[in-house]
Amino acid sequence: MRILIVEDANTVAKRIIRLTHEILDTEITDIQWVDTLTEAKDLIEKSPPDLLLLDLNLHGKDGYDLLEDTAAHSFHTIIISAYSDQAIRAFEYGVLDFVPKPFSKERLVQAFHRIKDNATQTTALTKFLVIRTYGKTERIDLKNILYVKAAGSYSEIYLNNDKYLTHCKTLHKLSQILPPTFIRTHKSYLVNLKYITQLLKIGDHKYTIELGPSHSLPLSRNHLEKVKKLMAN
Amino acid sequence: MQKILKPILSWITVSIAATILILVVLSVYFSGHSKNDYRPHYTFLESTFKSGDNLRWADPKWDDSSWIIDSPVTPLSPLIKNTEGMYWLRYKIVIESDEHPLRAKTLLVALNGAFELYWDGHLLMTNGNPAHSRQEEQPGQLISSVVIPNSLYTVDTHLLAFRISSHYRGPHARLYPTISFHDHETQFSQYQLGLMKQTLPHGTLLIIALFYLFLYTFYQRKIALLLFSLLCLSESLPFWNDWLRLFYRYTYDWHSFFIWGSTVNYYILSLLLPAFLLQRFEVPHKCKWSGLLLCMGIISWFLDPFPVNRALYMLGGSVLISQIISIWALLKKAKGSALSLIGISCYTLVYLENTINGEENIIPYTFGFVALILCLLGSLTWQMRQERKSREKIIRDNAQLEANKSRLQAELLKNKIQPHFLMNTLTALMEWFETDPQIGSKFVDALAREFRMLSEVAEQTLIPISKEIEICRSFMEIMNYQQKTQYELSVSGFNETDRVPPLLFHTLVENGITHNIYLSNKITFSLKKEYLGNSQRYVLIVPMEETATNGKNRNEPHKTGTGLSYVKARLEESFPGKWNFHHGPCKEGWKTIITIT
Repeated sequence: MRILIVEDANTVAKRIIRLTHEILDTEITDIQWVDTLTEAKDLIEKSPPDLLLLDLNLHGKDGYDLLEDTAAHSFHTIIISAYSDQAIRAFEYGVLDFVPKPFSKERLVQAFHRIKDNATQTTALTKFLVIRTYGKTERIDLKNILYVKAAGSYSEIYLNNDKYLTHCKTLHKLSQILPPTFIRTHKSYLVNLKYITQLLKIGDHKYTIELGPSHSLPLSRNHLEKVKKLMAN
Repeated sequence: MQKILKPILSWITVSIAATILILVVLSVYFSGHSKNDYRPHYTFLESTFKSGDNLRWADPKWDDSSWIIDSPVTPLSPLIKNTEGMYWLRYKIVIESDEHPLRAKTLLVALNGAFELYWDGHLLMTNGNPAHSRQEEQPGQLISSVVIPNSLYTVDTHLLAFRISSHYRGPHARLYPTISFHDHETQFSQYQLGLMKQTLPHGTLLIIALFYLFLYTFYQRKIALLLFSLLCLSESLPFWNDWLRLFYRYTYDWHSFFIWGSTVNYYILSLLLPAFLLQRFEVPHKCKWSGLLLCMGIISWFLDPFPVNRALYMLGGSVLISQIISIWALLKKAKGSALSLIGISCYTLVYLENTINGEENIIPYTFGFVALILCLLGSLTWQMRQERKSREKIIRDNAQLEANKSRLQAELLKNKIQPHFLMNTLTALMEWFETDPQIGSKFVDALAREFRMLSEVAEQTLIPISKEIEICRSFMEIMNYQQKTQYELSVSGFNETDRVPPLLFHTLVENGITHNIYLSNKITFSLKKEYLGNSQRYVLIVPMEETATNGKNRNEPHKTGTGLSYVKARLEESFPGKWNFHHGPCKEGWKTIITIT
């Protein structure tokens, strides 16, 4: 795992590096530390890491520009910031975790644990996905997403206006940051609960999920009970 | 809404006041004569004088051809003046007509003396008891009246013989009687009306006098208020004296005392009016004005033998000076000066009218004075309003200053609990506790020193420059623990006594450290003081480095922000209007120049 740390305070950066080594140990293949946003941007363009640990306040400048940029990438971002009042705003971008300073080793363990966690995010704070098309980033409101389909190392985002876009994060990574209103119905699908119109039985133990008249998605057996229960609510 | 209503309300108030005043003045002018009123028709033929005493001289048939007849050639006044003991005066009068023979007629006599009056030989009235010697004389009243029996009051020629002694007379006493005939009913109603007309303005003046006396005593010890109160009191005093005369019917021997009283009162009034205006408009050279008034007092003393007339000359001069003061105030655009000039002008008019027409008509004069007082009242009210406004402004400004001070104090402390500094510092502490407790405790030491100094200076507006430098260096030490770069501060040109607002340079140094990215291991900030003529200036140079990554300077120092507004607010607080803040890039980096003149 390649990790990039963006932090302007010397001692704090040292602490992050030390604790990350202690926690992730052999999983780490490379740790890089930069203390400016420009350097971070350059590095991410050249070779995106697997995990970004980002401080939102660097030399008096806020890091939201960088966050908007990185949210479209394939890797997860964990914010480590002194400004805990900024947590909600950061979560809206779909960050994996927000670690307020000062932080203990335990808190970092908890944050890193989320990388491997299969459960969807328990908080419902992500508001939009940032998608990069032709070098430009675009915010997609979660309300407009019908479902997400796995496409190898990418995901396809189907919108309620019959368009679809491609996101760099895998379906698994998206499932970690999307709120519980997006449910797994199949190993390749994450569906927005609010667009499900009905379940159709199309054969023995075979079901499909209908999202209006034009979208019909397969529903795997092991998700059937969960979907039924959620729809009953 | 209130902004529109307020001036409307003011105008309504002024209009109502003016209307009431005009109505009062008009009603006073046009009231006074009813259809029922009647004035007897009579003519004085001649008056003759003889010193000595003989009761037979009352007889109309007595031959008085040897007596001295009053004429411009032989005026009686000096003769009477030189007469010791008793003397007689005989008046021949003609009652020309009598439309109302049944209505009672009154004879009114004003005389400084005791007398008996014989009407065609009949004793009509006595006033006191005339006698040959001072011991025997019983003084009579100054003004006395008697109802003439209808049987005596006939259309004919009559003889009025006065048997007089005046041992108690003063130097200016009137020694021959002023005689007038009146219809009893008419005189009674006229007398009542006159009394009412005088009571109204004088009562008003007395109330105003008392009110301003209270204001002076309990509200504001301002000499103008006291002078104003005395001015009103002084004008109304003679009337209350007349009023008193109705209850305590004093005899003529007291009269000169009252004449002197009245004279003194007029002189006082003449001084009070300009004195009030001098105080009211804060006119300079009060001594010179006082000298001028004194000169006028002396001159007026020699203008007339009669004391009250002297005082009236003095009053005339005083009115003139008051006019000049008011015009001066108007030219200086003093608040309320126009109103005061209008009042003085009204008063001047009635004063001139009074002087030309004699003292007969006291009522317009009194109302003229009331007009003056009302105008001065308006002027005073205006002044009090201005004073209240400026007082309120001072209170507001003070509150603003206090609020500013608290805001700056809060900002000073907020700087140290702002999350970026505090949380990074705490994180660093955590790290040292886990890896190198020794550095950790040294760091805590430095941090404690910084906070101690901050709490020392937090409530001050100016601190010694040495303290400020110490705080800067202490902050740099804290940063040195946390960052790769080591910071230093070089200072030059300071005096021990130099004082600056707390955290003035600290804020700039902190900005420099926070907003710059340094690659070197050691960075030195420089702070120096320079003198330029009368002004002194502080120059802080924050080095900037070109970075390796993109060749150009990435370090855009932020131009505004709370830091700089704090610095500027502090400078304004301690050196209001006398400071200048300038900053920009220079060869060495970023230069900040604070000039204090």
